[in-house]
Amino acid sequence: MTDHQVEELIRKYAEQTASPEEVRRLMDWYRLVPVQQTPWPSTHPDEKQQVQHRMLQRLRQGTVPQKKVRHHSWLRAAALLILVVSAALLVLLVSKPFSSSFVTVANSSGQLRTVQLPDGSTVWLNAASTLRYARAFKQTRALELEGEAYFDVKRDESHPFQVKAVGVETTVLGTTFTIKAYANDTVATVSVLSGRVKVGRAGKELAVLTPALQLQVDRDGLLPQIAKVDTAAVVAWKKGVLLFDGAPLSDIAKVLERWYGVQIEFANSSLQACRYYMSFDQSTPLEMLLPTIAEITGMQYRIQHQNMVITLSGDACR
Amino acid sequence: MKRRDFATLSDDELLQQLESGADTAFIEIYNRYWEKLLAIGYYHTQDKQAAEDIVQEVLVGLWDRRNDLKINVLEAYLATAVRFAVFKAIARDRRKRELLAGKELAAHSWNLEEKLEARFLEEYLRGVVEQLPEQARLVFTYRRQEELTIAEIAGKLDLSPKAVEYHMTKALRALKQAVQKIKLFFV
Repeated sequence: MTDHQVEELIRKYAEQTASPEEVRRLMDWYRLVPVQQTPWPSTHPDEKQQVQHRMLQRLRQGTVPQKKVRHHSWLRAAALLILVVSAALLVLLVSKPFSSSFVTVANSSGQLRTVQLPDGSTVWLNAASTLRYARAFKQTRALELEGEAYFDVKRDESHPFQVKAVGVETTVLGTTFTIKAYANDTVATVSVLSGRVKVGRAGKELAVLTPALQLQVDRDGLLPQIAKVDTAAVVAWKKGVLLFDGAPLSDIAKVLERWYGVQIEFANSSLQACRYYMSFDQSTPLEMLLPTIAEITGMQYRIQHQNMVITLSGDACR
Repeated sequence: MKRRDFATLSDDELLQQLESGADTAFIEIYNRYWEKLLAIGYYHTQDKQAAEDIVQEVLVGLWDRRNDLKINVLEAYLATAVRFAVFKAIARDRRKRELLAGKELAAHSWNLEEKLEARFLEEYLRGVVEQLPEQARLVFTYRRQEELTIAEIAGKLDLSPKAVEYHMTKALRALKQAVQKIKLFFV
Protein backbone atom coordinates (compact mmCIF):
# COMPACT_ATOMS: atom_id res chain seq x y z
CA MET A 1 0.00 0.00 0.00
CA THR A 2 1.22 3.50 -0.72
CA ASP A 3 1.33 6.20 1.95
CA HIS A 4 -1.57 7.90 0.28
CA GLN A 5 -3.70 4.74 0.41
CA VAL A 6 -2.92 4.30 4.09
CA GLU A 7 -3.86 7.91 4.78
CA GLU A 8 -7.13 7.52 2.92
CA LEU A 9 -7.98 4.32 4.81
CA ILE A 10 -7.26 6.01 8.13
CA ARG A 11 -9.50 8.91 7.18
CA LYS A 12 -12.34 6.55 6.22
CA TYR A 13 -11.79 4.51 9.35
CA ALA A 14 -11.99 7.62 11.54
CA GLU A 15 -15.15 8.76 9.82
CA GLN A 16 -16.69 5.29 10.00
CA THR A 17 -17.13 5.16 6.25
CA ALA A 18 -14.65 2.34 5.62
CA SER A 19 -16.06 -0.95 4.38
CA PRO A 20 -15.25 -4.07 6.42
CA GLU A 21 -12.81 -5.03 3.66
CA GLU A 22 -11.05 -1.66 3.96
CA VAL A 23 -10.85 -1.93 7.73
CA ARG A 24 -9.30 -5.36 7.33
CA ARG A 25 -6.71 -3.99 4.87
CA LEU A 26 -5.80 -1.19 7.22
CA MET A 27 -5.41 -3.54 10.18
CA ASP A 28 -3.36 -5.99 8.11
CA TRP A 29 -1.08 -3.15 7.08
CA TYR A 30 -0.72 -2.11 10.69
CA ARG A 31 -0.11 -5.58 12.07
CA LEU A 32 2.51 -6.44 9.51
CA VAL A 33 5.22 -5.18 11.83
CA PRO A 34 8.62 -6.74 11.97
CA VAL A 35 9.19 -4.42 14.94
CA GLN A 36 12.24 -6.33 16.14
CA GLN A 37 13.88 -5.77 12.78
CA THR A 38 13.35 -2.03 12.86
CA PRO A 39 16.50 -0.58 14.30
CA TRP A 40 16.49 2.92 15.72
CA PRO A 41 18.70 4.88 13.32
CA SER A 42 21.15 6.35 15.81
CA THR A 43 23.53 9.07 14.82
CA HIS A 44 25.63 8.31 17.87
CA PRO A 45 25.88 5.33 20.22
CA ASP A 46 23.94 6.51 23.28
CA GLU A 47 21.22 8.30 21.37
CA LYS A 48 18.62 5.73 22.25
CA GLN A 49 19.46 6.00 25.91
CA GLN A 50 19.04 9.74 25.61
CA VAL A 51 15.66 9.25 23.98
CA GLN A 52 14.59 6.96 26.80
CA HIS A 53 15.75 9.55 29.23
CA ARG A 54 14.23 12.54 27.53
CA MET A 55 10.85 10.85 27.25
CA LEU A 56 10.90 9.97 30.92
CA GLN A 57 11.72 13.57 31.81
CA ARG A 58 8.87 14.82 29.70
CA LEU A 59 6.48 12.31 31.24
CA ARG A 60 7.57 13.27 34.73
CA GLN A 61 6.92 16.91 33.95
CA GLY A 62 3.64 16.29 32.25
CA THR A 63 2.06 13.71 34.50
CA VAL A 64 3.58 12.80 37.78
CA PRO A 65 3.22 15.52 40.38
CA GLN A 66 6.54 17.15 41.20
CA LYS A 67 6.84 15.99 44.75
CA LYS A 68 10.43 15.13 45.39
CA VAL A 69 10.38 16.04 49.04
CA ARG A 70 7.96 15.33 51.81
CA HIS A 71 6.52 18.39 53.45
CA HIS A 72 5.53 19.02 56.99
CA SER A 73 1.82 18.94 57.44
CA TRP A 74 1.84 22.63 58.32
CA LEU A 75 3.90 23.27 55.22
CA ARG A 76 1.35 21.39 53.24
CA ALA A 77 -1.41 23.43 54.81
CA ALA A 78 0.51 26.61 54.02
CA ALA A 79 1.06 25.45 50.46
CA LEU A 80 -2.63 24.71 50.13
CA LEU A 81 -3.49 28.13 51.46
CA ILE A 82 -1.12 29.75 48.97
CA LEU A 83 -2.67 27.66 46.24
CA VAL A 84 -6.18 28.73 47.18
CA VAL A 85 -5.18 32.37 47.47
CA SER A 86 -3.31 32.36 44.19
CA ALA A 87 -6.18 30.58 42.48
CA ALA A 88 -8.50 33.27 43.79
CA LEU A 89 -6.09 35.96 42.62
CA LEU A 90 -5.84 34.29 39.26
CA VAL A 91 -9.61 34.31 38.90
CA LEU A 92 -9.63 37.98 39.86
CA LEU A 93 -6.85 38.79 37.43
CA VAL A 94 -8.30 36.82 34.58
CA SER A 95 -11.71 38.36 35.04
CA LYS A 96 -10.21 41.82 34.58
CA PRO A 97 -10.04 42.35 30.84
CA PHE A 98 -6.84 44.39 30.78
CA SER A 99 -4.86 41.82 32.76
CA SER A 100 -5.69 38.91 30.55
CA SER A 101 -3.57 40.40 27.78
CA PHE A 102 -0.49 39.11 29.63
CA VAL A 103 0.71 35.56 29.84
CA THR A 104 2.63 34.35 32.89
CA VAL A 105 4.50 31.07 32.80
CA ALA A 106 5.93 29.89 36.11
CA ASN A 107 8.06 26.79 36.70
CA SER A 108 8.34 25.16 40.08
CA SER A 109 11.47 23.38 41.21
CA GLY A 110 12.55 20.43 39.11
CA GLN A 111 10.70 21.69 36.08
CA LEU A 112 11.85 22.76 32.62
CA ARG A 113 9.52 24.10 30.00
CA THR A 114 9.65 25.54 26.50
CA VAL A 115 7.41 28.49 25.74
CA GLN A 116 6.37 29.47 22.23
CA LEU A 117 6.03 33.22 21.92
CA PRO A 118 3.50 34.91 19.61
CA ASP A 119 6.30 36.11 17.29
CA GLY A 120 7.63 32.58 16.69
CA SER A 121 10.52 32.86 19.16
CA THR A 122 11.11 30.07 21.67
CA VAL A 123 12.06 30.31 25.33
CA TRP A 124 13.40 27.47 27.49
CA LEU A 125 12.49 28.28 31.06
CA ASN A 126 14.58 26.75 33.84
CA ALA A 127 13.31 25.56 37.24
CA ALA A 128 11.97 28.07 39.78
CA SER A 129 11.64 30.75 37.08
CA THR A 130 8.83 32.97 35.86
CA LEU A 131 8.31 34.57 32.46
CA ARG A 132 5.73 37.24 31.66
CA TYR A 133 4.85 38.69 28.28
CA ALA A 134 2.04 40.31 26.35
CA ARG A 135 -0.32 37.98 24.56
CA ALA A 136 0.03 40.17 21.48
CA PHE A 137 3.35 41.97 21.05
CA LYS A 138 3.30 45.70 20.25
CA GLN A 139 6.11 47.76 18.73
CA THR A 140 8.56 46.21 21.19
CA ARG A 141 8.51 42.51 21.98
CA ALA A 142 8.67 43.10 25.74
CA LEU A 143 9.12 40.33 28.32
CA GLU A 144 9.87 40.09 32.01
CA LEU A 145 11.93 37.32 33.56
CA GLU A 146 12.68 36.25 37.08
CA GLY A 147 15.06 33.32 37.08
CA GLU A 148 16.89 31.64 34.21
CA ALA A 149 15.91 31.23 30.57
CA TYR A 150 17.36 30.56 27.16
CA PHE A 151 15.96 32.66 24.31
CA ASP A 152 15.94 31.72 20.66
CA VAL A 153 14.66 34.93 19.10
CA LYS A 154 13.14 35.12 15.67
CA ARG A 155 14.74 37.91 13.64
CA ASP A 156 12.53 40.97 13.24
CA GLU A 157 14.49 44.20 12.83
CA SER A 158 11.47 46.43 13.16
CA HIS A 159 10.34 44.92 16.48
CA PRO A 160 13.13 44.85 19.07
CA PHE A 161 12.95 41.96 21.54
CA GLN A 162 13.51 43.19 25.08
CA VAL A 163 13.77 41.21 28.30
CA LYS A 164 13.70 42.92 31.67
CA ALA A 165 15.20 40.93 34.53
CA VAL A 166 16.05 42.34 37.96
CA GLY A 167 16.44 45.77 36.39
CA VAL A 168 18.71 44.57 33.60
CA GLU A 169 17.36 45.26 30.12
CA THR A 170 18.53 43.00 27.32
CA THR A 171 17.63 44.05 23.79
CA VAL A 172 18.12 42.02 20.61
CA LEU A 173 16.76 41.79 17.11
CA GLY A 174 17.25 38.08 16.48
CA THR A 175 19.77 35.97 18.39
CA THR A 176 20.19 33.20 20.92
CA PHE A 177 21.20 34.09 24.44
CA THR A 178 20.55 33.19 28.08
CA ILE A 179 19.75 35.29 31.09
CA LYS A 180 20.23 34.18 34.66
CA ALA A 181 18.63 36.61 37.06
CA TYR A 182 17.24 35.08 40.23
CA ALA A 183 15.99 37.47 42.87
CA ASN A 184 18.16 35.82 45.55
CA ASP A 185 21.39 35.86 43.53
CA THR A 186 23.89 38.65 44.04
CA VAL A 187 24.66 38.92 40.34
CA ALA A 188 22.72 38.57 37.11
CA THR A 189 24.34 37.25 33.93
CA VAL A 190 23.57 37.57 30.23
CA SER A 191 25.41 35.12 27.91
CA VAL A 192 25.32 35.19 24.13
CA LEU A 193 25.35 32.14 21.87
CA SER A 194 24.75 33.83 18.55
CA GLY A 195 24.17 37.31 17.20
CA ARG A 196 24.53 40.65 18.99
CA VAL A 197 22.94 41.51 22.29
CA LYS A 198 22.64 44.93 23.89
CA VAL A 199 22.41 45.08 27.67
CA GLY A 200 21.44 48.16 29.59
CA ARG A 201 20.12 49.32 32.91
CA ALA A 202 17.71 52.17 33.61
CA GLY A 203 18.00 53.26 29.97
CA LYS A 204 21.81 53.38 30.11
CA GLU A 205 23.80 51.03 27.91
CA LEU A 206 26.10 48.66 29.81
CA ALA A 207 27.55 46.56 27.00
CA VAL A 208 27.05 45.12 23.54
CA LEU A 209 27.84 41.42 23.60
CA THR A 210 28.88 39.06 20.82
CA PRO A 211 28.92 35.22 20.90
CA ALA A 212 30.64 33.40 23.77
CA LEU A 213 30.70 36.54 25.90
CA GLN A 214 29.00 36.88 29.24
CA LEU A 215 28.10 40.02 31.12
CA GLN A 216 27.91 39.92 34.88
CA VAL A 217 26.05 42.68 36.67
CA ASP A 218 25.65 43.00 40.40
CA ARG A 219 22.67 44.36 42.25
CA ASP A 220 23.51 48.05 41.87
CA GLY A 221 24.55 47.71 38.26
CA LEU A 222 28.00 48.92 39.20
CA LEU A 223 31.13 47.44 37.71
CA PRO A 224 29.65 45.28 34.97
CA GLN A 225 32.16 42.61 33.96
CA ILE A 226 32.53 40.90 30.63
CA ALA A 227 34.16 37.48 30.37
CA LYS A 228 34.52 34.71 27.81
CA VAL A 229 32.33 31.68 28.57
CA ASP A 230 31.91 28.12 27.43
CA THR A 231 28.48 28.41 25.81
CA ALA A 232 27.83 24.66 26.05
CA ALA A 233 28.20 24.87 29.83
CA VAL A 234 25.90 27.89 30.03
CA VAL A 235 23.04 26.00 28.42
CA ALA A 236 23.73 22.54 29.90
CA TRP A 237 20.60 22.83 32.08
CA LYS A 238 18.47 22.99 28.96
CA LYS A 239 19.84 19.61 27.89
CA GLY A 240 19.03 17.90 31.17
CA VAL A 241 22.39 18.31 32.89
CA LEU A 242 23.32 20.00 36.13
CA LEU A 243 26.82 21.10 35.16
CA PHE A 244 29.27 22.84 37.46
CA ASP A 245 32.39 24.02 35.74
CA GLY A 246 34.58 25.18 38.57
CA ALA A 247 31.67 26.88 40.28
CA PRO A 248 31.81 27.96 43.93
CA LEU A 249 29.83 25.71 46.24
CA SER A 250 27.49 28.61 47.05
CA ASP A 251 26.40 28.66 43.37
CA ILE A 252 26.16 24.86 43.22
CA ALA A 253 23.94 24.90 46.31
CA LYS A 254 21.61 27.48 44.73
CA VAL A 255 21.17 25.40 41.58
CA LEU A 256 20.45 22.29 43.64
CA GLU A 257 17.99 24.19 45.83
CA ARG A 258 16.06 25.31 42.78
CA TRP A 259 16.12 21.96 41.09
CA TYR A 260 15.23 19.80 44.09
CA GLY A 261 13.12 22.32 45.96
CA VAL A 262 15.21 22.02 49.14
CA GLN A 263 17.21 24.38 51.31
CA ILE A 264 20.97 23.92 51.62
CA GLU A 265 22.87 25.34 54.57
CA PHE A 266 26.53 25.47 55.46
CA ALA A 267 27.79 24.65 58.93
CA ASN A 268 30.95 26.59 58.09
CA SER A 269 30.48 29.52 55.72
CA SER A 270 34.05 29.39 54.39
CA LEU A 271 33.07 26.22 52.54
CA GLN A 272 30.88 28.24 50.19
CA ALA A 273 33.89 29.54 48.30
CA CYS A 274 35.28 26.07 47.46
CA ARG A 275 35.14 25.45 43.72
CA TYR A 276 34.28 22.14 42.09
CA TYR A 277 33.89 20.49 38.73
CA MET A 278 30.98 18.09 38.62
CA SER A 279 28.03 17.17 36.51
CA PHE A 280 24.83 15.27 37.16
CA ASP A 281 21.89 14.22 35.17
CA GLN A 282 18.79 16.19 36.13
CA SER A 283 16.95 12.94 36.78
CA THR A 284 19.41 11.88 39.49
CA PRO A 285 17.46 11.53 42.73
CA LEU A 286 18.72 13.79 45.52
CA GLU A 287 19.40 10.80 47.74
CA MET A 288 21.88 9.53 45.15
CA LEU A 289 23.40 12.90 44.42
CA LEU A 290 24.25 13.84 48.01
CA PRO A 291 26.63 10.91 48.68
CA THR A 292 28.46 11.73 45.42
CA ILE A 293 28.85 15.36 46.42
CA ALA A 294 30.09 14.27 49.85
CA GLU A 295 32.66 12.07 48.18
CA ILE A 296 33.89 14.77 45.80
CA THR A 297 34.07 17.50 48.43
CA GLY A 298 35.05 15.40 51.43
CA MET A 299 32.22 17.03 53.35
CA GLN A 300 29.46 15.49 55.43
CA TYR A 301 25.80 16.15 54.91
CA ARG A 302 22.83 15.94 57.21
CA ILE A 303 19.21 15.83 56.11
CA GLN A 304 16.67 17.43 58.42
CA HIS A 305 13.10 18.57 58.55
CA GLN A 306 11.77 15.70 56.49
CA ASN A 307 14.24 16.16 53.64
CA MET A 308 13.63 19.89 53.40
CA VAL A 309 16.92 21.16 54.80
CA ILE A 310 20.36 19.82 54.00
CA THR A 311 23.36 20.93 56.00
CA LEU A 312 26.87 20.55 54.61
CA SER A 313 29.78 20.49 57.01
CA GLY A 314 33.53 20.03 56.75
CA ASP A 315 36.83 21.59 57.67
CA ALA A 316 38.19 23.08 54.49
CA CYS A 317 38.07 23.02 50.71
CA ARG A 318 39.34 19.94 48.99
CA MET B 1 6.99 0.59 48.60
CA LYS B 2 10.56 1.05 47.43
CA ARG B 3 11.20 1.76 43.78
CA ARG B 4 13.14 -1.45 43.16
CA ASP B 5 10.21 -3.56 44.38
CA PHE B 6 8.06 -2.36 41.51
CA ALA B 7 10.22 -4.14 38.98
CA THR B 8 9.09 -7.48 40.37
CA LEU B 9 5.35 -6.75 40.13
CA SER B 10 3.16 -8.24 37.43
CA ASP B 11 1.36 -5.96 34.97
CA ASP B 12 -1.89 -6.55 36.86
CA GLU B 13 -0.35 -5.54 40.16
CA LEU B 14 1.16 -2.46 38.53
CA LEU B 15 -2.27 -1.48 37.23
CA GLN B 16 -3.69 -1.69 40.74
CA GLN B 17 -0.90 0.50 42.05
CA LEU B 18 -1.44 2.92 39.19
CA GLU B 19 -5.12 3.25 39.94
CA SER B 20 -4.31 4.22 43.48
CA GLY B 21 -2.11 6.94 42.02
CA ALA B 22 1.35 5.46 42.49
CA ASP B 23 3.64 7.38 40.17
CA THR B 24 6.35 4.78 40.74
CA ALA B 25 4.07 2.20 39.16
CA PHE B 26 3.70 4.52 36.21
CA ILE B 27 7.47 4.86 35.81
CA GLU B 28 7.82 1.09 35.96
CA ILE B 29 5.21 0.70 33.22
CA TYR B 30 7.19 3.21 31.20
CA ASN B 31 10.42 1.26 31.74
CA ARG B 32 8.73 -1.93 30.72
CA TYR B 33 7.11 -0.73 27.50
CA TRP B 34 8.89 2.36 26.16
CA GLU B 35 11.16 0.51 23.77
CA LYS B 36 8.42 -1.59 22.24
CA LEU B 37 6.12 1.41 21.81
CA LEU B 38 8.92 3.48 20.32
CA ALA B 39 9.76 0.76 17.80
CA ILE B 40 6.12 0.48 16.70
CA GLY B 41 5.84 4.25 16.40
CA TYR B 42 9.03 4.51 14.40
CA TYR B 43 8.25 1.61 12.10
CA HIS B 44 5.00 3.18 10.98
CA THR B 45 6.04 6.79 10.76
CA GLN B 46 9.75 6.46 9.87
CA ASP B 47 10.17 9.63 11.89
CA LYS B 48 12.05 9.69 15.18
CA GLN B 49 10.30 12.74 16.58
CA ALA B 50 6.88 11.37 15.66
CA ALA B 51 7.80 8.06 17.33
CA GLU B 52 8.71 9.86 20.55
CA ASP B 53 5.49 11.83 20.44
CA ILE B 54 3.52 8.62 20.00
CA VAL B 55 5.06 7.03 23.10
CA GLN B 56 4.38 10.24 24.97
CA GLU B 57 0.75 10.34 23.90
CA VAL B 58 0.12 6.71 24.82
CA LEU B 59 1.63 7.02 28.28
CA VAL B 60 0.16 10.41 29.11
CA GLY B 61 -3.20 8.96 28.05
CA LEU B 62 -2.71 6.04 30.40
CA TRP B 63 -1.87 8.37 33.28
CA ASP B 64 -4.76 10.74 32.59
CA ARG B 65 -7.25 7.90 32.47
CA ARG B 66 -5.85 5.83 35.29
CA ASN B 67 -8.94 6.47 37.39
CA ASP B 68 -11.49 6.66 34.63
CA LEU B 69 -10.89 3.57 32.58
CA LYS B 70 -11.06 0.17 34.11
CA ILE B 71 -8.10 -1.31 32.32
CA ASN B 72 -8.15 -5.07 32.43
CA VAL B 73 -5.06 -6.05 30.54
CA LEU B 74 -2.32 -3.48 30.38
CA GLU B 75 -0.66 -4.86 27.30
CA ALA B 76 -3.93 -4.98 25.37
CA TYR B 77 -4.74 -1.42 26.34
CA LEU B 78 -1.31 -0.19 25.27
CA ALA B 79 -1.50 -2.10 21.99
CA THR B 80 -4.80 -0.42 21.11
CA ALA B 81 -3.60 2.97 22.33
CA VAL B 82 -0.40 2.87 20.28
CA ARG B 83 -2.29 1.83 17.16
CA PHE B 84 -4.54 4.84 17.43
CA ALA B 85 -1.62 7.11 18.27
CA VAL B 86 0.06 5.92 15.04
CA PHE B 87 -3.10 6.60 13.05
CA LYS B 88 -3.36 10.04 14.57
CA ALA B 89 0.29 10.81 13.83
CA ILE B 90 -0.26 9.84 10.19
CA ALA B 91 -3.41 11.98 9.97
CA ARG B 92 -1.59 14.89 11.60
CA ASP B 93 1.36 14.58 9.24
CA ARG B 94 -0.95 14.56 6.24
CA ARG B 95 -2.74 17.67 7.41
CA LYS B 96 0.57 19.45 7.94
CA ARG B 97 1.76 18.55 4.45
CA GLU B 98 -1.48 19.73 2.90
CA LEU B 99 -1.29 22.98 4.83
CA LEU B 100 2.30 23.53 3.72
CA ALA B 101 1.39 22.81 0.13
CA GLY B 102 -1.21 25.53 0.45
CA LYS B 103 -3.98 23.10 -0.29
CA GLU B 104 -7.49 23.97 0.66
CA LEU B 105 -8.26 21.62 3.53
CA ALA B 106 -11.29 19.46 3.25
CA ALA B 107 -13.61 20.00 6.19
CA HIS B 108 -12.91 16.52 7.51
CA SER B 109 -9.15 16.96 7.87
CA TRP B 110 -9.55 19.20 10.88
CA ASN B 111 -11.17 16.89 13.36
CA LEU B 112 -9.80 13.58 12.14
CA GLU B 113 -7.66 13.20 15.23
CA GLU B 114 -10.62 13.83 17.48
CA LYS B 115 -12.61 11.22 15.60
CA LEU B 116 -9.78 8.74 15.97
CA GLU B 117 -9.69 9.41 19.69
CA ALA B 118 -13.42 8.69 19.88
CA ARG B 119 -12.94 5.49 17.91
CA PHE B 120 -10.18 4.45 20.28
CA LEU B 121 -12.46 4.76 23.29
CA GLU B 122 -15.25 3.06 21.44
CA GLU B 123 -13.03 0.16 20.49
CA TYR B 124 -11.78 -0.09 24.02
CA LEU B 125 -15.34 -0.23 25.30
CA ARG B 126 -16.23 -2.82 22.72
CA GLY B 127 -13.54 -4.95 24.30
CA VAL B 128 -15.33 -4.51 27.60
CA VAL B 129 -18.62 -5.60 26.00
CA GLU B 130 -16.97 -8.69 24.62
CA GLN B 131 -15.92 -9.71 28.08
CA LEU B 132 -19.48 -9.56 29.40
CA PRO B 133 -21.30 -12.81 30.21
CA GLU B 134 -22.91 -14.31 27.09
CA GLN B 135 -26.52 -13.26 27.76
CA ALA B 136 -25.65 -9.73 28.79
CA ARG B 137 -23.43 -9.31 25.75
CA LEU B 138 -26.15 -10.53 23.38
CA VAL B 139 -28.82 -8.35 24.93
CA PHE B 140 -26.57 -5.30 24.75
CA THR B 141 -25.58 -5.91 21.13
CA TYR B 142 -29.17 -6.48 20.01
CA ARG B 143 -30.33 -3.37 21.81
CA ARG B 144 -27.58 -0.94 20.87
CA GLN B 145 -26.28 -2.15 17.56
CA GLU B 146 -29.35 -3.68 15.99
CA GLU B 147 -31.76 -1.44 17.86
CA LEU B 148 -34.21 -4.17 18.66
CA THR B 149 -36.92 -3.55 21.25
CA ILE B 150 -36.93 -5.34 24.59
CA ALA B 151 -39.83 -7.46 23.38
CA GLU B 152 -38.02 -8.42 20.19
CA ILE B 153 -34.91 -9.40 22.09
CA ALA B 154 -37.01 -11.39 24.57
CA GLY B 155 -38.53 -13.30 21.64
CA LYS B 156 -35.17 -13.88 20.01
CA LEU B 157 -33.42 -15.15 23.11
CA ASP B 158 -36.44 -16.90 24.56
CA LEU B 159 -36.28 -14.84 27.74
CA SER B 160 -38.86 -12.86 29.68
CA PRO B 161 -38.76 -9.07 29.11
CA LYS B 162 -37.80 -8.72 32.77
CA ALA B 163 -34.78 -10.95 32.25
CA VAL B 164 -33.77 -8.93 29.19
CA GLU B 165 -33.90 -5.76 31.25
CA TYR B 166 -31.88 -7.42 33.96
CA HIS B 167 -29.13 -8.37 31.50
CA MET B 168 -29.23 -4.92 29.93
CA THR B 169 -28.76 -3.31 33.34
CA LYS B 170 -25.88 -5.63 34.02
CA ALA B 171 -24.17 -4.76 30.74
CA LEU B 172 -24.67 -1.04 31.29
CA ARG B 173 -23.31 -1.26 34.80
CA ALA B 174 -20.15 -2.97 33.54
CA LEU B 175 -19.72 -0.30 30.90
CA LYS B 176 -20.32 2.51 33.32
CA GLN B 177 -17.72 1.05 35.58
CA ALA B 178 -15.37 0.92 32.64
CA VAL B 179 -15.71 4.59 31.90
CA GLN B 180 -16.58 5.71 35.40
CA LYS B 181 -16.08 9.42 35.22
CA ILE B 182 -15.93 10.20 31.54
CA LYS B 183 -19.30 10.65 30.00
CA LEU B 184 -19.16 9.13 26.61
CA PHE B 185 -21.26 9.03 23.53
CA PHE B 186 -21.62 5.33 23.99
CA VAL B 187 -23.65 4.68 27.11
